[in-house]
Amino acid sequence: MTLALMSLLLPLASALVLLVLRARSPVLMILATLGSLIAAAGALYQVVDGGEQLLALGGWEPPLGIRFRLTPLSGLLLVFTALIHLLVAFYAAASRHSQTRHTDYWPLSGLLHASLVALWLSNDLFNWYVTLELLGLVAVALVTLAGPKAYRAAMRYLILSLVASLFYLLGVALLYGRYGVLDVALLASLTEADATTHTALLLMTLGLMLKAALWPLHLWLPPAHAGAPTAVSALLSALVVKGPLFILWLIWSEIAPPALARDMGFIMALAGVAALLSGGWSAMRTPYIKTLVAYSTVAQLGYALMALGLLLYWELPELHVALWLFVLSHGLAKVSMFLAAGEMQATLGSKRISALTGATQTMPVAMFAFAVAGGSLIGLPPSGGFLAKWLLLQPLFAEPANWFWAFAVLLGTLASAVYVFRVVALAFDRAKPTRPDFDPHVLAQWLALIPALLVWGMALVSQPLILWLTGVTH
Amino acid sequence: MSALLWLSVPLAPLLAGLALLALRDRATPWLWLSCVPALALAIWPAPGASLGALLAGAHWGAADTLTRAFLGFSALLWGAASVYAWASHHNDPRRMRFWTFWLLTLCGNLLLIIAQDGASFYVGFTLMSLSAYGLVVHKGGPGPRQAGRLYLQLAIIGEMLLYAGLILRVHEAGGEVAFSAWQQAPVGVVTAVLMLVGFGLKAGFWPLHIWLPQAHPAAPAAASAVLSGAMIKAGILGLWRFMPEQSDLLMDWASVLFSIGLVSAFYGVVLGLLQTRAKAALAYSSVSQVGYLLALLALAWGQPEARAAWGLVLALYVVHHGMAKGALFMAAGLAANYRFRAWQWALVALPGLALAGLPLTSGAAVKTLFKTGLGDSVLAPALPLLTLGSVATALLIARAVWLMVQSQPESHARPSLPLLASWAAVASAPLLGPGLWPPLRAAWLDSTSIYVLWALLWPLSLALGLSAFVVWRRWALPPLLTRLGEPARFFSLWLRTLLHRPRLPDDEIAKRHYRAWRQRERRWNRFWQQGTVAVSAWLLSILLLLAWLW
Amino acid sequence: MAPEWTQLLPVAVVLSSLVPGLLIFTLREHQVGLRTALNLGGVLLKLLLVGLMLWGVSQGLSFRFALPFIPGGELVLQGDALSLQFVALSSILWAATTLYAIGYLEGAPLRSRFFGYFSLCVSATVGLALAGNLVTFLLFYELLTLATFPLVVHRGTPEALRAGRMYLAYTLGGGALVLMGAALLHLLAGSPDFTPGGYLAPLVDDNRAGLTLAFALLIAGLGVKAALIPLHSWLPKAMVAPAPVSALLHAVAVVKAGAFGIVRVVYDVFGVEPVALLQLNEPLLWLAAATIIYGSLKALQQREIKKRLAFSTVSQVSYITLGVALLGPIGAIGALVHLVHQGLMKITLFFCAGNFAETLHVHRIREMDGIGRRMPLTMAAFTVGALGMMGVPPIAGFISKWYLGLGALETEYYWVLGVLVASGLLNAAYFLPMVYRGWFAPPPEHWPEDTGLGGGRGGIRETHWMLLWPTLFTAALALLAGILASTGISPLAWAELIVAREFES
Repeated sequence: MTLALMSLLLPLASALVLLVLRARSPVLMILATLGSLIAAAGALYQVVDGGEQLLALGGWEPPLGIRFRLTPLSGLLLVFTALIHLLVAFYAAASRHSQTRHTDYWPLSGLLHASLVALWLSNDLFNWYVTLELLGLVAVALVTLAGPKAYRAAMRYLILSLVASLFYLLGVALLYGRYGVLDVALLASLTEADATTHTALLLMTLGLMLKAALWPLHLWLPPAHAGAPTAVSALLSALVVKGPLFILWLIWSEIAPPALARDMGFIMALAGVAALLSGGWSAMRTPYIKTLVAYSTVAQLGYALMALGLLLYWELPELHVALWLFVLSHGLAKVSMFLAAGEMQATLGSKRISALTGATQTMPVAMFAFAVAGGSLIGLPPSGGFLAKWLLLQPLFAEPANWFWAFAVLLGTLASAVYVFRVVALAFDRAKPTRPDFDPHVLAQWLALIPALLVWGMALVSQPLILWLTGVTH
Repeated sequence: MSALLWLSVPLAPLLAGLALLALRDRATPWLWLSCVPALALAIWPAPGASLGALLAGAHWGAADTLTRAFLGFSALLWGAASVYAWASHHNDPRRMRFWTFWLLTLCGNLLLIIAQDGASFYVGFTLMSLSAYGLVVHKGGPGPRQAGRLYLQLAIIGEMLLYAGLILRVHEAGGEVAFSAWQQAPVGVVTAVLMLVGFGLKAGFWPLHIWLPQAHPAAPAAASAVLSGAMIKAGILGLWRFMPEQSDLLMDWASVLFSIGLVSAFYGVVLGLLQTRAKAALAYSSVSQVGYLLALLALAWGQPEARAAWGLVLALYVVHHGMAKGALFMAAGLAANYRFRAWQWALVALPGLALAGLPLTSGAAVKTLFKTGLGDSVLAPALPLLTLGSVATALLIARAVWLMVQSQPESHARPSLPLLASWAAVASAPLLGPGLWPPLRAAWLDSTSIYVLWALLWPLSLALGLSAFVVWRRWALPPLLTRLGEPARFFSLWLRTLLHRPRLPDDEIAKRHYRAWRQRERRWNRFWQQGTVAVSAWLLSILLLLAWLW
Repeated sequence: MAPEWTQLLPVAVVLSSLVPGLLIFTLREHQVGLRTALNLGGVLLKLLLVGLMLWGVSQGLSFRFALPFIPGGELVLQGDALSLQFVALSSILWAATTLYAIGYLEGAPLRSRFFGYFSLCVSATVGLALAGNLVTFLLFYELLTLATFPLVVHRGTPEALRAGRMYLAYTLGGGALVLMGAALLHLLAGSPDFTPGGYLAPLVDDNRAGLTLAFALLIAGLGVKAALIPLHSWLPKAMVAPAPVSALLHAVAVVKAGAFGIVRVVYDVFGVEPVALLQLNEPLLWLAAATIIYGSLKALQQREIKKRLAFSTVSQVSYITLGVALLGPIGAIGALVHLVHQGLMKITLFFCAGNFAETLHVHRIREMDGIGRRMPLTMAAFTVGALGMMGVPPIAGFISKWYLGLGALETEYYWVLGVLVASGLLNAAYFLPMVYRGWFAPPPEHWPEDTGLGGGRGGIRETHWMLLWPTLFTAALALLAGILASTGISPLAWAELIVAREFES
């Protein structure tokens, strides 16, 4: 548990140090992230080895105090968060075009990291509210780093984020009033299917859906993610939207009464399908590179939502694995995709997709990263995206009555193939390639490629990973 | 060992082709040698050999009289024609192409004769059919090209029908390809029709003859000789081989097929008389003669008990007609280029009259045998038609010779020795054949009684008298009849244009639709982008309300 | 425990082209010698390894390599008789095509990229052939799609781009369908190794709907690559690719991958009896027959050599599907042997088309007049290929047609014989005019553009030797495969071996 706390405290402390000193040193933050990664890995090892660990902060036991809980899954998420932060930090430090080299990105990303870690470790509703609030504020601050052009999007993000927090807080208050406890484990044993609980859960769900940009409350996401600096976009898409999703998953699979969960699951799954289609469609049609990637996040979250909804609807534990594999593989792929897209956009001097004409010639590595990451989003074997989709598909085929969902997945796959390859195909157009405004930066391109290779590398450990996840999620 | 011997038959022309490639013009005088293995094996047949290594079930040999007759006369005719072709083509700029196709055709023709199984036969048959196209169009120009197109179109159709027939036949014979098995296996209606049409297109009897009068005159003389003399017989041989010995179906059809044969015999003569070119008249004569061969086949199928006898008649008829027609085509080629002396005219007339049954020639022997056989069969009432056929044939031959006389050039060039020698060798076959070939001799001896001689002579005299009368009165064909349209050529052109139909134009409407659709999409996008917060707020309230109601 | 060499050999076969391919990516444009050495070294090594494996399989050794991948579905590479046939075909034709491509692209830009993807493409094909279960097959099937795309758009022109987009749209869609089908079957039965006779027989009674859907998904997905109508449109468009790519695409890699997949699905996944029980073969048969006729009709309308050849592929590849759908052993022999024969003949034709285009800039059929006098050897090879396609004996195509026809009668689909006849006629209708023009039509005053490759004279120096020799080699193979069909070394003999193993269970 100490290691998990280390993983939380290292980035937090460094961020505070940087804030206090008004310094913007990448080195410190990278070292802190590295330390956090090592600590997280150690924590994961411990928890796998020794089982779940609990820590009551300040020595107060629930229901009075707050309690951190380190499960194998949260251990994995710690590692994942630190890893992504590290990868993005390397890029942010190395790339000339990251817009983040000498900005407040460094302390803010440390805060973001810390709040995410706190979120994964927390296990009670109010703690989550705090981390969510922190997460939202830091995220908005990060978006504004892009300068005045991003203010509009950041403002909308901020407003909606606050509204979402409000909804969530209302729900938490209702539950607290009804049951008097906030700890998930305690609540799970208490909840009853009455009107208050329903209302509270619905309010929380709406808030979380708005925060996680789940369809139809995703409207703020594309402008915010597309407008943010490249490194920030990567973090937002890969990690920040996953936080609320984590909470959503826990409250519905642990706290909610089963009957309500089943109904809600169906609606969530439908919303997931709608997200797949509408996000995919918008990504197919948009003329801007980063907006395309952002819409692809909306679509990919549809898979996660669908997995979550269906696991509630059918009470199928194996879908947990699909859900978390989606989260992991999407995170890695999206980092790579945003970094590559941002790098290309900056080097080629235009936000438009048409500027990528001939990019296989001018920026081969970045384009390759984009394509490889896109392959995972489509679900081409043997990428991580494929594994997740495969696991999701299995139960969908069990009964002819479920084939509708499989058909939705098929449509989603086709849509993702279209939006990824509309870019890739254009990049092969050698007739009139766009001349780069700057010399393409090779190191930055390679840094963009690494997460994509990692997500395909998941194939190497796929079977143990799946079996392990099956064991730890339920 | 015997496998090697039989392999040498089709391989010899291919080796000759290699020699041609290496030695070019120095090889051409010796290309006739590629027929020697075939001739030798026809005279001294080796036991049949299996060549399963090449083609599953392949079996080659020449055990029976019919095969030996086919092999022998084909080798002789091809050999003589090779010499003739060498002598007449040595200044042709495209002679290498000519020889290539010549040797391939020869290879196919020999292979199909020695084949004792369906697969090998089909290989040879196809090779021969397709390569012969090169011979048909060799002269170049619109006429041969059109004739060649028609030839090829029908040859391909025939090929494909045969392919289907072949496969069906293998199926009927339980997977066997050997002819010995096929002779015992019953034949289905579809298979029989496919065979008859497929082989009929090659043999060229009415009504499947349409390509023959176009293609044979278009080819160079040497090629016409082998086309009419040897190749069309492959269709007859195929029918003989592929069909079972005894079949109720064929027995039922025998009289119909016999009638078709006779119609073909007379139809060929009538149209032949209308021709204005000697080679065209000769080609129609081939249509007519193949009619008799079909009639013979029909008789054999109608009387399975007398199959062996009919097989003999068929063999004799094929050899007799092949040599005679080959000689006539060679003569037609010479007559158009060189002035003939009197004895040379005699050499022209001999095979012609032999076709009409001139006493003491092979023709007389074959005709007599045919009539005797027919007289013993159920179709005996058709006997007078055979006599009438002799008159008709003689008339057509007279017409052909008359046309050759008309085509004599002004110059006094004389044919060279190889040309004359090869022609004379073939042309004297009707006289020499009975002396050299025992089965023909036996039949020939039967045709030497006075009564038979008279029966043969009077139709011939009648026809010659008629011809002399026509010449004396200077009757000419009404011009209308000589300019009859050629429906086959129209059919061929129609087929060609059908297959070259131009592409459909692209659709322009789709683009307009796309533009309209794009505008609607823009409007939709703008609506959602206007107020993210407002829209989200509305959505939230609606969702809350819905949840409340739920 | 050290793995046996029989386990490593399948991996080595895949790697023997993959590794040179990846190395080639790193080379700079001007390193011609090194690149050529890598290419040819890979080719030779692969031929050697495949030869070893062929020998092993005929001796009854089993080659199997497995990696854990997903629960119930390992990544398996194995060499059985069927996969070896396809592997041998692709290795030999890859060898010829590599040589051809080196000659073809001499002096062209971006050769490192081209040969890199070229090797990847072959690696994916070989992997697909060696794939031991449906999951592995799916993996290589998708990889093949991706590796081929850069080759299709290699010229980088707008037209190539359009073709590439279309190619991707179709093949990725098809890949998604295969993924769906494979996932469905994985749920029902896991993903065990391909088994002669299939592994789904026990499930037929309880899962009719599921199996039918899986079959439909798989066939639709594979049908995209196998160019079954209505999923064929990408193939003629993809003709804008350079000639060696077209050759590889049509003869070995993409189109064959689809056809091979159909063979696998019908024989080794479903098995003949379940397919018959579910009555799935007749729709497939109709589809294949319709494709055969439709492809030929479209080919007739084309005015460009490569376009016509492309539609001819649409038609010819469906012979394989047709033979498979007949569900009889003889039809199966026809299908499997045509897999090889069509490859040999079609690659020859595309090489010839490439030679005409490269040497004389002849692209349209009209321009072929008299080309036989300028390039007799190429035209002879073309003639062999064209006549073979028509099914003229003794060229390889005849053997295929013979067995397909007998197979149709064996299972009493008499109308299929009519389809074969009609297809033969149509083939003749579009191939013979080309042959006629080449040999008999008078040559033009001057060619569109005579590049004078090789030496510019008819005969052995009519074009660059690297373009001519592969052409003659494959033409000779097409001829020999027909003439020596009954010997032990022919594709026919191997197909019979496969069928004996498939149908004995």
